Amino acid sequence: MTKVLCSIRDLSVAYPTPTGAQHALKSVSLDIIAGEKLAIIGESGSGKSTLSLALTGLLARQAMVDGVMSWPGLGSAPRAGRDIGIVFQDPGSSLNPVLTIGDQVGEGARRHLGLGRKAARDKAIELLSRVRIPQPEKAAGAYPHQFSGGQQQRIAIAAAIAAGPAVLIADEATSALDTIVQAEIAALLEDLVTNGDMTLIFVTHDIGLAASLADRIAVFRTAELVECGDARSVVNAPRADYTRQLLATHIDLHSPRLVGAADVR
Amino acid sequence: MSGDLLMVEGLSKRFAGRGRSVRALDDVSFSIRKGETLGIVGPSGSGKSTLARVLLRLIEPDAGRILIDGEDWRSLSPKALRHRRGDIQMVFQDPLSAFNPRTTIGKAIMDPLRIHAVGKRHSRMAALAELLQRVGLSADMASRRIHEVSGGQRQRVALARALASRPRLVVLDEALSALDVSLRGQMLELLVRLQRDEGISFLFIGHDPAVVRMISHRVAVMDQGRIVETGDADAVFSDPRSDTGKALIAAIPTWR
Ligand SMILES: Nc1ncnc2c1ncn2[C@@H]1O[C@H](COP(=O)(O)OP(=O)(O)OP(=O)(O)O)[C@@H](O)[C@H]1O
Ligand SMILES: Nc1ncnc2c1ncn2[C@@H]1O[C@H](COP(=O)(O)OP(=O)(O)OP(=O)(O)O)[C@@H](O)[C@H]1O
Ligand SMILES: [Mg+2]
Ligand SMILES: [Mg+2]
Repeated sequence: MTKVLCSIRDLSVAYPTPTGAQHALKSVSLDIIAGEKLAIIGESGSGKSTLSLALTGLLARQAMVDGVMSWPGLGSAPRAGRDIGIVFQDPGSSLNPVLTIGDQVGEGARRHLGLGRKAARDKAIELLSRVRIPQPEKAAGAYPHQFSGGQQQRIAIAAAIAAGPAVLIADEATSALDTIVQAEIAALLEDLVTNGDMTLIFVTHDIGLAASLADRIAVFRTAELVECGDARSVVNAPRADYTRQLLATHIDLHSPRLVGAADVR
Repeated sequence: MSGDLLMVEGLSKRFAGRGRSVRALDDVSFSIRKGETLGIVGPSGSGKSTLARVLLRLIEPDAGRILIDGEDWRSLSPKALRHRRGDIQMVFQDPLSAFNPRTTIGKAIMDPLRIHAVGKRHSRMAALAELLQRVGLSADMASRRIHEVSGGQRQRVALARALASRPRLVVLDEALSALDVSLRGQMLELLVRLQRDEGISFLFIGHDPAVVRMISHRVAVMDQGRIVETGDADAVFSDPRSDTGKALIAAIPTWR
């Protein structure tokens, strides 16, 4: 049984720029299924982050939007932070520099789940340890700039899942994580979907991650959705030329090296 | 003189405060030759960006020596440092925070050209257009601000700015992580071409072992502030000796 959580029809978004309107999405139609893990991959600048922002209702004010987005699976548009959590592409911009990370992670639970100060703090510490922040009790009292880039990404994930949202949108949320921690975060997200009835939409340039974590993959290029389908078939038998090109340029441990010992002067 | 452009000896840095103490660098030593790329991999929080920041003199280490062309980099006076800044450039892991939000992208890239007195205004304009083109961005991006472009475009703006002053060493901290795979390949080729033409050295920090292997001559594996393994890139990635190296390779997601 599949239930449509969000239905997107002919969604177009354009930004005004000094040199004219810039189309970020052109007439995109897509159904998001409740409880699925949907990966969004594709060209840089093809509108993936714009789609994430549109879904969360956080598009820049000057963006020009056309088309319909409805949430039959929720009844009404989701409230950011409560029903839908988002992890932005730049972790630095998700986090408030003057609040301790314990307060930031606990804030969603306090505001949306009505937890008291102490309970919210305990919840924050639990979440920090779930995203593998070392010494979570001590870390809770520290500020964002005191953490590494990958730690900030994980703190942003902890904050986004604190209120137990029905939908999580993760925009390149594991892009700076080493392979070990990324695998742990992938397992955590998997668990939230399987045991917590969450729907996961994640944007990534890591085709290996998309193929191993997602149920379905949507591929974007120059503001358009070029194909969307079962993850296995998109990777093994892509329909669009662009997807084939993308897969062909994948870099793995057997790719030819670009430099050799002889280059060094 | 050996061909070392950079030599680092015994770098240590501890962050302490509010009951939380982290040894971010613990006796780190290595060197990079002219025209060489040293790749750095390691778990999140292992000290990679701290190392980069110390090299750029953005944070002071507790101990250790940094020699650039045999010259003691840490004892350069502020004036001498200003003069030499252009020699070492960096692409930061979080480009959004490394740019002034009110400045246009064109101005952000032109500033280092001006400071390092590269040419006249019209030749700087030409240099700007060429830099943007090299990183695959259209010239009209110059009039936008950093938050008005996508994540991958932002990374390429940061790369263009780092290359603007014709540096001798560029520290790339997860500098290609937000690019689609085909652009990532193109940027790797651009870096290698620049290295061949101009003898630039790179310190390439990355989380993806396959990408680091492709561009690096040698690789260092870091864990908890220490270098736990170094060697030829092929050797380290095909047969890692350290537990950390083994674990990083084993956790690469497979899909084919
Ligand atoms: N605020 C803005 N003003 C003007 N143009 C914008 C703005 N935000 C994004 N754009 C443009 O819209 C297009 C889509 O951007 P978006 O951030 O959605 O791309 P993306 O697919 O997420 O790319 P990446 O993989 O590089 O992060 C890009 O060409 C970008 O330059
Ligand atoms: N200003 C600071 N104050 C306190 N601790 C810090 C500070 N900067 C970094 N740290 C700590 O030092 C350690 C190393 O951080 P660093 O940013 O160098 O890691 P990294 O290897 O770049 O990790 P990542 O891959 O996640 O970017 C981390 O545990 C981090 O929390
Ligand atoms: Mg994006
Ligand atoms: Mg880092």
